[in-house]
Amino acid sequence: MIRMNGVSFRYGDRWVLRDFSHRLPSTGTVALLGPSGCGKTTLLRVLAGLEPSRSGEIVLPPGARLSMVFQEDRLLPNLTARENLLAVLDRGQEDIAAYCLEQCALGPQANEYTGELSGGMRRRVAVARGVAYGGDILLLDEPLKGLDEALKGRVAEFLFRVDPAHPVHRPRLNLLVTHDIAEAAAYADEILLARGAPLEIVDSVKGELEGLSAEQRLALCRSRWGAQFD
Amino acid sequence: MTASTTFPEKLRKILYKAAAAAFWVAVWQLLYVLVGQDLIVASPRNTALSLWALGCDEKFWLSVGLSCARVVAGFLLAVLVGGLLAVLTSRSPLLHTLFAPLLGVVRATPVASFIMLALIWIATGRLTMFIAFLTVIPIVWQNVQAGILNVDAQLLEVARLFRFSRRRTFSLVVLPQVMPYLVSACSMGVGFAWKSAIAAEIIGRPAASIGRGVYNAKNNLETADLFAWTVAVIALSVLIEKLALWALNRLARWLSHFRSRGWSK
Repeated sequence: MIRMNGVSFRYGDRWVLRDFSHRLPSTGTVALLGPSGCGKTTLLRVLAGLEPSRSGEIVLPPGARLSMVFQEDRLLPNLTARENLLAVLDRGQEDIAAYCLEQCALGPQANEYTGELSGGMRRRVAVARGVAYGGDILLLDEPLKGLDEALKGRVAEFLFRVDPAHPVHRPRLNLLVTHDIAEAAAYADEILLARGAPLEIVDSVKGELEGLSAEQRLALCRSRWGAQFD
Repeated sequence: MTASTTFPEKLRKILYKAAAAAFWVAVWQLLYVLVGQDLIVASPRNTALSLWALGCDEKFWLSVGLSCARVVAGFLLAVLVGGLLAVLTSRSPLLHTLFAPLLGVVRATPVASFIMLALIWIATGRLTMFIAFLTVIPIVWQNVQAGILNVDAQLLEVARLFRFSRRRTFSLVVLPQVMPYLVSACSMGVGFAWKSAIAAEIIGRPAASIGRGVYNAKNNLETADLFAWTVAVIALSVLIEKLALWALNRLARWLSHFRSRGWSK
């Protein structure tokens, strides 16, 4: 369980998080769905420890390890795709890097410098790096942005697959930030509807999503919040 | 030069360069004829003969060797100290404020003033090294500091989030972004160091030095010798700059090799 109690953060005079409290489960995929500028990315940055909260507390499971796919690719430009993954791994984990690149359809580009890759390829390298690093919490800031539909499905399947026996797919919490209702409906176990800033959770669906197909989930979300996203 | 450059293209480039050189030698010869006084302008032929004579004298090579060694020592020391100061002043606003006036003074003071002061402060044998050091240090300091301050903050966040060690952050994030600034500083600094150091030697005239050779040629009104020394200085300047850039490229390659080796099983 991840607990955020009274967390506040502001840029200058603008409060982005103000006395924000919420609990997240230890595993599964939670989508934070909301319009641009409502504070979703800031919440991820505060959770990741990249921005200091001005007050309140964030309680993570003891020894929890965080990984992140940033909104920008943020790849090391002087390294190849493979080296970008190796940079976040320990020595002897080359097989994990190869597996993640392969799963993101980047096998042939593994030894190409990231500056020479297309935007979509760079995005997939960023996703592969975030997953390869492993950890208990994976913060995903629009991870599928800019991918074409065919690859989006493949990358999402890799990103959200759960397999306790596989080192890369062990159960973890995926916190998916998106403003795409279809993406949230397709991949999340729980969807939090956000507005702001300051960020607040105004609605959520969880149990209702169980047992529904992707189309039914999307229809459910649209029937509840469609006016805001269509 | 690109990999696709063909042999005729290479040959054409060489021919163009040779033609340009021949043109300027012809201009020189014309100037010599127009002036008509060996004391004022030496001919290309006499200069070449003087250069040959100098080349046959082992004292010339001793002077060249010692001057080069002094310049290189001052240059390397400046790269080391300038790089260190850049790291310190870019990390600490207090140190930056403390050292900024010093950097300003070193940059604003004419080299000739430093040469005169150095002649009072230190032995002439160390003059060349000291002046090369003083000339290069602000260039390295300022460029490397700019490089460090311009390191992509987003990539530093990546290093922080993925818990890179200090060494990994330095070698994978900081160094690749600072290297172009360092290369630029070295490329600029080596030319300045060489010219300033030779000027210092001409004034200070340390034993067995290029500057002393230039001074003696001028003092004895041996204009052809003076021209020959100048040609040697220009040639050595080009050579040293190329060697410095070659060494930096080798260093960058070595760092890249070191990086890959660190990751292999």
